[in-house]
Parts: sequence; structure tokens; C-alpha cells
Amino acid sequence: MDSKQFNNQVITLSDKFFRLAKSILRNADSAQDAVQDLIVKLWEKRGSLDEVENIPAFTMRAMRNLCLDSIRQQRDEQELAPEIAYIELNPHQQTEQKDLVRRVKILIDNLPELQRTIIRMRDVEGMELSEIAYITTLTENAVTVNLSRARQKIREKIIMEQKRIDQTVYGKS
Amino acid sequence: MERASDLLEKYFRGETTLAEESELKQYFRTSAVLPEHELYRAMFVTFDEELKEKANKPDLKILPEQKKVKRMWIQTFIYTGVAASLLIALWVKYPKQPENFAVVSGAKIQDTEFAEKYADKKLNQVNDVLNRSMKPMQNIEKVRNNLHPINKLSSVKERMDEIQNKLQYK
Repeated sequence: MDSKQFNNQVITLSDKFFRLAKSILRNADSAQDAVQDLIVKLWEKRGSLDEVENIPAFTMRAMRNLCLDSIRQQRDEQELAPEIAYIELNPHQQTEQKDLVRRVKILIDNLPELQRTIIRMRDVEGMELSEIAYITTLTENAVTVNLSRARQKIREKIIMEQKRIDQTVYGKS
Repeated sequence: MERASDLLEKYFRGETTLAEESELKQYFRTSAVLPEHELYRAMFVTFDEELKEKANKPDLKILPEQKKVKRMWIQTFIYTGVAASLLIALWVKYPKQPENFAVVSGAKIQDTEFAEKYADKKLNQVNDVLNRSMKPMQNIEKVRNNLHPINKLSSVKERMDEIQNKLQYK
């Protein structure tokens, strides 16, 4: 694979790599570093990429593995920062969609790694279940189960938060 | 709107297709969202927002260069092979034609009759030279033959000496 092919087939996936890395690592800077790291590794092994049938799925799988390795390494060094706690918002903020979006992002980030990776691959990237199954090395059935659990959890938390807001702002019980 | 409710339930069970999910996303982008669905709008907006997140594109120039030595060897090998193939092809297509000519004093002579006469003349000259060169040899042979009786004399002398010796002893 020459530099032009590498550019067309790998570099164009950088945004997807970044979003996947950010979803797993929950940090934009670490995600950017992970993407650079992956690109360099793929560039060094570009000779063998010609044998890969599905470059997007293969590279996304490599991205996920690299991020998981990075998390394991961090765990060895120090415990990860505690999961982001629920952020109490004032009534003005509660009315702004921007904050709602931020809160949903936090809810997704608080999901277990596999669930948040799967929900983002499906609902953000619009990937087929078969592709997600390949990247996560799960069966399609297991992907469906994890996807459903992730969506249900977010739904429950959104409903709970809505109730909390209703209680705070309108005094509803 | 009933379809939206059905799709949402299906969505949360993880049973929707990509096309149905796209339909749901589109529904939440409009202002015609049912009040009971409104709380899920942020969820779908979040997915749209996250899709806009971009990575800083890595610069290919900063990536390590490929080892050129290997490539140069390959190139040399290919070029040598191509050159050899061309030479073989030319040799097969245009084999060396035999040329009928003689060279006389550095000049090409293609007139066969002239060349034969010239060759005969030169051969005769060589023959004369050889004959002349052999003449002294023939004289030597003559002298040798003439000397033959003298050689016989030595054997006669030896015989006479023998007889004389015998006579003396007696």
C-alpha cells in the first residue's frame, strides 16, 4: 500500500478512530494521541494492509485494542479517575438543550466500556451489527444485547433525571 | 406518530434496522416531536453532535519514510531484467547475418572473382618464397649424400686396425 492508498483508505477514517478512542478513553487529548499512535503503527505495517479485506473494520478493531491496552497500562500505573458524578444543574441550564446534550454525553460515558463503544458505533457511526461484532470480537446476538442494555440504561437515567428536574423546578412528585 | 412510538420501543430493545434508526433521527430533528418523546430528543441530538467531532488529521510527511534501500534493490533488479529481455528480443529478431567479403589492405572487397584471383596470386607468391627458402636445405641434403662414402671409410679403417693388431700378436 503506497502513501496515496494509505491516505485514501486509512487517514480518511481518522475522525472515526478519534470518536471511538474518545468514547473508550473519555478524554480528547488521549484519544488524539491514540489516533496518532495507531496511524504510525498502521503506516509501518502498510505492506501487510493489502491483504486485509475490510480495512475500516480491521483498523477500528485495532483502534479499540490500542485504547484498551492504554487503559490497562494506566490501571497498572494508577487507578482511573472515578467516574464522572452526576452534575447538578441550575434551572436555567436545565432548559438549555446544549446542557442536555452534555448530560447525555456524560450518561453515555458512564456506561461500561463495551456498552458505550457499541452504542456509539451504532448510533453515531451508523455501523452494521456484523461490523460491530467483528470489531468487538462478539457475536451479533451479544452486540444486540449490549446495545439494548446501553439504550435502556440511558433511557432510565433520562427519565430519572427528568423526574428530578420536575421535582426541583415544578415541585412535582 | 404512532409509528414513532413503535419505532422508539423497538429502538430501545435494540431491534431497529439502520434505516429505521435513521428515520427516528430524522423525526427528532423536526419540531413535530410528540411531548412524551421530547425527553429523548437530547439523546438523538447528542448522536448528531458527536458525529461532528473531528480528529486532527495526521500529516503523512511526519510519518517515517519507507526503507529506500530495499526499493532500490528491487528497482535495479527490475531494470536489469528489462534491459536483458530487450537485448535477447533484439538478438532473436535480428540475428547476425553472414557477410561475404574479403579484406585487402584494410579495404572490403566484395567482387568474388577479383578476390579469388588475388588470393591465387598471393598463394603463388608464397609458393615461390617457400621454394626459394627450401633450396639451401636441398644442397645440404646433397652434401650429406656425398659424404656417405667417407663414413664407410671409417668402418674400413676400423677393420684394418683390427687385422693389424691380430698380426702383431702373432
